[in-house]
Amino acid sequence: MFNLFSFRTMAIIKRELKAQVMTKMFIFTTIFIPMIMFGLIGLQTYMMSYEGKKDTLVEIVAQNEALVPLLKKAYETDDEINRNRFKVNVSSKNSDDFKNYLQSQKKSILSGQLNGLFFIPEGDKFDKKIEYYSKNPKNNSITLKIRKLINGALVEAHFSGTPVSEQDIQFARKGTELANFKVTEKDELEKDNYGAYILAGILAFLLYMSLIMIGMQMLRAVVEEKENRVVEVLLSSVHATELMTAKIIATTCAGLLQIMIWMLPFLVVSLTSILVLPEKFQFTITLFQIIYFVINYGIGLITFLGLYAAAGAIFDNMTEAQQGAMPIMFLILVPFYICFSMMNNPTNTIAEVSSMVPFASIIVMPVRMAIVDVPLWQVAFASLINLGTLAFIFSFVGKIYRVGILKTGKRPQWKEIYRWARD
Amino acid sequence: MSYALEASHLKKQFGNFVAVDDVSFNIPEGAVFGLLGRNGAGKTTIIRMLMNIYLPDEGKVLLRGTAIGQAFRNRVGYLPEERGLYKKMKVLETILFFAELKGIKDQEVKQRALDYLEKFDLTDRKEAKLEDLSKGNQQKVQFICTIIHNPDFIILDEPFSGLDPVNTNLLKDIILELKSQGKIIIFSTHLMDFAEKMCDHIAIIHQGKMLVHGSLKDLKQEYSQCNISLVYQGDISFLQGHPMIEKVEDFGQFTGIRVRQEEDVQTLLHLLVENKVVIKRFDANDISLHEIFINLTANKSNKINSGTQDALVMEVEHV
Repeated sequence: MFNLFSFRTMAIIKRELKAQVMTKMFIFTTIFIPMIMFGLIGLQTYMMSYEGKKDTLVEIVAQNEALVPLLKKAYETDDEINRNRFKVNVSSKNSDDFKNYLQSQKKSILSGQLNGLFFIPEGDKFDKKIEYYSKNPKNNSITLKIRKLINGALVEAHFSGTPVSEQDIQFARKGTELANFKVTEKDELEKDNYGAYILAGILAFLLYMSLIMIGMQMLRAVVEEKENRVVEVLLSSVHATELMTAKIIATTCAGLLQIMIWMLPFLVVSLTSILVLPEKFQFTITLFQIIYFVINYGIGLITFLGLYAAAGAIFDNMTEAQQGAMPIMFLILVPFYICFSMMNNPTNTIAEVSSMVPFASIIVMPVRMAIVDVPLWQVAFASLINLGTLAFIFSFVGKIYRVGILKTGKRPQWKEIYRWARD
Repeated sequence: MSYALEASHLKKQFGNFVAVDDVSFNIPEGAVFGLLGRNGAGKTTIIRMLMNIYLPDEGKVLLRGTAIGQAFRNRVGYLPEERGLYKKMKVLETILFFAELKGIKDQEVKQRALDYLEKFDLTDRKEAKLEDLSKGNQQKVQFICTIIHNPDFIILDEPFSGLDPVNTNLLKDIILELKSQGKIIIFSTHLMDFAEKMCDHIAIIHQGKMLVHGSLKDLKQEYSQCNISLVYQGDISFLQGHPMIEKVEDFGQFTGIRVRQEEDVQTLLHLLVENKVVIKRFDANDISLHEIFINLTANKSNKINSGTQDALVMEVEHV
């Protein structure tokens, strides 16, 4: 029988912690991964808001000459167009002249001197069909703004000479604005924004990254011990189960330390007002969610580390071990993708069911909790499922580890591994 | 006679392959015990069963009358055949870690580690990572890790392999020093010269079975009748086919001759002198461990079929 808290296990835990935490790799990933992640989010936000070069030149050609002053006025008065960055020339040409003009401007368009050429044909009075010619017609940063500008001018032209007030025209010009409110169990309504989705994305990414990284670290450590034969010396002092348990405890501690460091910015945002995010990106994360996240992560990590330890013990070298650990990778990868299906429809059935399915629950449930209000019974049920999975996994991984760690020679068959686990 | 360790009827099977089959031996207090056998004979499996790393399918190991367990593990120092240490750890740190695994963690053990490092000429490498050390030096560190906790039992599986002659002598001296301190030393080796010089009790294993065991002195006496160890100059080819000679075997340093009857020993001496062979050494009724080993295992090997050799690829289960 082995003793979990003997001096032997403590010695192994201490050594493992030192070997895992006091490394450049651990320090680098713990500090730089959040920085890279926030950097990527920032970069994405910047890319989305980047409207082009300072001298973006656009031409609007209207067949109807009456539209020209209206378009000029719209350009000068439109608040959203940054006139330092957008130069809009407006002119009038009939359709034949425009064709020739387009030919003459082809060189400028291809060279990037002229970023886009809009043509408003005469068409039907109620026809708002506009043609757009550009080297890159999918560039939304130009089309969205200019379409809005043209729409305003067309609305004004349409109603000119009718007894419609300027106020009504303003109203007609304007698009609809959507304000999202999240209905929760709480009394007050919360204004919804992208914050919850960003939070969910970050949590999914952190869980995925951490489980894969720490898991691979465990796999490598076990294979190395087996490969360089140090395991036999260790087993002359400790029981195999003691060794595996001590390694899992140490690696879990290292993983928890890492995830807690990663969660610090969220804790700061949630509990203090030191960091104030733009309204669009604000999110709400409760202390309960953070605590659940860390505990759930701990349970998940122990579960996966058990599997990785067993996989490491089965194989003799890292290449074979990595191939053998592929099914474990899928147990992490599939829930990660399910999390992204929630971004489109947070209440989809797959997400709801998988948040209570063994293994998937570890990643899907905390991410789901960040986006929707999950009934408490589901959270409790998922926790029970995770604990049950943990108990089930440890009923056989210890046996596989014990036999496999001293096994050398030919790669075992799955049938053989099943026999180790059963005996 | 009281025994420190008793192994009785040990059996270990991996799949269909029987690695150890009904092996029994006793190790007296203060003995240097040699577990001898060819490669793949089952020595390491026996040692692993002694260490409780493998559980025997049958049989038991008793430590001074009680079944071995964690108490034995805490008092044993084990140097496995396949050496292994954490490559990224520093030398002193490694030694202290292995001491801590045995429950020893104090200033005294650190001093002892430093003393051993000095003895092995490794003081200036104490802060070096193991991966930066030569293989021989890594082996010396591993040996220090084996004995740092001052164990009562020291199990050494092929301790001299990979060591240069100077370090081999150094290690031998330390083993003898440990013996003089009353430690029980268990050797596993296929190098008979070392075993003969260092062991007082031996067991010879062949294909998982025990061939002989007991005190080396008794065994030599039993097997030495009609044996002569000869060191000479000249030509002894006339002995080949001589009716009184059973066997002539060249062991490099000396030649082993077996005569058919004890009385033939004197006749042989006369014959050599008559044939002008210069005799440097003539040990009658003497046999080397090497000869005993070869005689015993070669006889058995004739019965081996090649199929059995292939079965030496190990499968481990029921650990």
